[in-house]
Amino acid sequence: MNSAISVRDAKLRFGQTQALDGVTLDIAPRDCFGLVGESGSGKTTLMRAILGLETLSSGEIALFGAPLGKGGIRQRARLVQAIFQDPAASLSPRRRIGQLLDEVGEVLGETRAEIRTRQQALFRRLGLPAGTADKYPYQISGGQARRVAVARALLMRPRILIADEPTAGLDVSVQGDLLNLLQELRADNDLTLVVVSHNLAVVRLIADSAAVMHRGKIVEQGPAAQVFDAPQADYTQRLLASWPRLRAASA
Amino acid sequence: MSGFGAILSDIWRSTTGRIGLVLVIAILLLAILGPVLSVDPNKIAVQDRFQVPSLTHPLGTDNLGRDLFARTAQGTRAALVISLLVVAASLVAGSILGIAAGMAGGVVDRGVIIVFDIISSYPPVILAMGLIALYGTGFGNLLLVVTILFIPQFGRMARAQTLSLRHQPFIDAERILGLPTRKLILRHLMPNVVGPLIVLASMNIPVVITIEAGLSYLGIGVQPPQASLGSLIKDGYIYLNQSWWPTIGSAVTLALTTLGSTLFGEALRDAADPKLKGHGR
Amino acid sequence: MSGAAIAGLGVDFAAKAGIHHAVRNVNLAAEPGRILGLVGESGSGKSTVALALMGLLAANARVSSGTLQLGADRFDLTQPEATASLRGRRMAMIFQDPFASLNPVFPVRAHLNEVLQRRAPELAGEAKRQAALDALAAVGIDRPELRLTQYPHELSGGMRQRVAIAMALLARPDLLIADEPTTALDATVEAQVMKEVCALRDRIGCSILLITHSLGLVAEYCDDIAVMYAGELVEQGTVAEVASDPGHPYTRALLACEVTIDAPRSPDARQSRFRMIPGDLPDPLNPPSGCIYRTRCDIAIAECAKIVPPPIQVRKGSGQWARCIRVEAR
Repeated sequence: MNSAISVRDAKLRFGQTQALDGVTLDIAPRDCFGLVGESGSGKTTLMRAILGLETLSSGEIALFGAPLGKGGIRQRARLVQAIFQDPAASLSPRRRIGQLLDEVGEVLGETRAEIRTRQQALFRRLGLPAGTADKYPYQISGGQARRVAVARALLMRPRILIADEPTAGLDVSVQGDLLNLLQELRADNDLTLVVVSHNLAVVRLIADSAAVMHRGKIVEQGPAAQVFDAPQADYTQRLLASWPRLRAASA
Repeated sequence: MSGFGAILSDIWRSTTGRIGLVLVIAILLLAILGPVLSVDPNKIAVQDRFQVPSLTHPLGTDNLGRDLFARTAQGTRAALVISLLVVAASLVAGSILGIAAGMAGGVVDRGVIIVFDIISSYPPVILAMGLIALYGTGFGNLLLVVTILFIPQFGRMARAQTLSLRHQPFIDAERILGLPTRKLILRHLMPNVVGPLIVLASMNIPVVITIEAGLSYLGIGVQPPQASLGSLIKDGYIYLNQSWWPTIGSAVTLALTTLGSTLFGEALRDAADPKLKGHGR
Repeated sequence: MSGAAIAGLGVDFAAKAGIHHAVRNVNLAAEPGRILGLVGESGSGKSTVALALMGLLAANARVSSGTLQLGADRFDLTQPEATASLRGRRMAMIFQDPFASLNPVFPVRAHLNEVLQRRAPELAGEAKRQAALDALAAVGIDRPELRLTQYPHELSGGMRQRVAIAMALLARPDLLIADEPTTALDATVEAQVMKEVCALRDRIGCSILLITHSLGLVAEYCDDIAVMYAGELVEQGTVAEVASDPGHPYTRALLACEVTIDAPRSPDARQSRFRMIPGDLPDPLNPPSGCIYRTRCDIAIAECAKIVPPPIQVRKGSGQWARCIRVEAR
């Protein structure tokens, strides 16, 4: 079977920094893949390259066996969608939520009625008030913006969903809600899920397999249980050792 | 968009916006209705020269006995027509060039920037004189030349806005939906680029008026006997030792036009920006 | 030194719809030589407490009541400039964004010198330079000679926080307030910076108030913990006691929500589910009667709506208390 995402020797340079330094990885369909690393490790750049927002200097990225060259962003849109780190900033500020979601129908060639029906169903599913569609992005809460971003991504019916730092900026008391939502989506939609995060503890629980990035390279890759509970690379071990533990609680 | 009415009511809510709106409406009324209501601005009556304001001549008369209210109204109309046309044309041309440069990058970007630099490296009035000497005087040429002078300002701002916006998450989010570039620019980039450009435009209106006045004084702007605010001030200045009324009407009108359009522009920016509104005032 | 004690702190915000009592009756005692972790989620008022202490509240906020006892001196926090004379002397602060405390146009040396001028005016020339170098070396900064001449933007985030800690070290405050000092940092850098904070505590024996949203950070590095919810303290005690046997249902729920790196992991990641606290923060302008947490509490009873719970001792012979009348039901 083809990989959902296959990256071969991807290299990308920004001025002095080698953001991606020969990354090779395969993500199996319907897998949840965790991509972890610290800031500047290249994990966000890799995600952007998969989405087509960055062009590789060399190497290749294929989605479901189809390599995508330059300008492939439109073909890619039906295969892969993403939820960005700051969902409120990912909504165009001068258009109503409804207008933003109608655009998905336009891209997919659906009638307005079709897309509205699907949008309303998703809103109910995600617990968004029906009036949300008439509002501007600045009129909704951060949590609602996050759900709108999820709704927009899902309306595209992608086969791969990338979540960039899904828990960044969320309080622990509410992050579980979003993580459970991701888990449910995965179950219903046959989705391949890529979670890009610095939160090792969350990725450890949510991912089937994972890769650790450091300075543009993948230093460790494998089943999540192995990467997080029996790490081989020095860097992974260091990363895990510095993660705070609820020492007293687990004692 | 929040609708025209909503924007107006927002402008009205702030004190400076209200002053700006009232001034702009007053100036528009003067420019539109003034020439209709008053006497012939070019009618010479030497026996009536340098009259102080009265019911027949609300702003007095000039050195040839022409009615200054009529001439100020005519000058205001000319100034507004020229400045609005110039600002609109340079706004449109500057936005297209600036957004194209910002989105395309590379050679296109550098080429556009060089052209902007060449235009703005000359003192505006000198460049205008040169161009008019080349193409001749006339209303059309005047508009074209002053428009060229103002394109770089709008172009640079549009480019800077584009550069800062093109990597915003919301632009990335639209791109990964596969939205065609044309729609991306028209729907998501443009509305966020034009806000500051409109403010710049409203603040440039008085600048265009002064440049037009300067050119008129040099004899290459609005041609006499047609009045312009600049030539009225200049003519009045010559006879300042005999009567200061000829300068008052036109100078105050120019000052109020400047003040009004600036305040109005700022209030317009605040009203048109939903993000500013969201954070309250 | 006898540490720092905050008593009866209340902060009001003027909002369009009325007065918002953002912080209500907060009492905190930070013992010398110990780190007190003040933990809470967004909207809990934890940062407002820090800003009130430093006199850095926003223009629409007002301290309605409260005093700060620092050693033998007592300061009335309702006075706008109550703590101005303490800042950078007996009270220092480390911010989440060190750019907020480091002036971008001055090199590191100027920042350290400024503190030295205040705290050790007798030092000059080479001695002063040496003191600055020692401070940088003490917080684990490599090549301190080079760093002295560098500007804040030339340093990494972790390095900037170390400079802020070095400044605190030179200031020798009685109370150090660290407001989310590691939130912007990666986990490995966070660990290093927190180690330096602990070293600072041991070196100068000051009280440290660490304000954070991360229970994990508190459990790992703090000695004492105070938990805030919707503007009130709901529980306080030593970290060992509170983390192992929380008295307040909110603390308990927070601990349950925390995703730990050693949590039991199902072999099939699809089965992983995450805990959350259902419901929202109460409307600040229209808070519930009685216990502030009862609308989201899983053990609330009718009584909870009638009584504003006082601090109740959680266990005999311990200083741990929780503002919950159902503390026995845990």
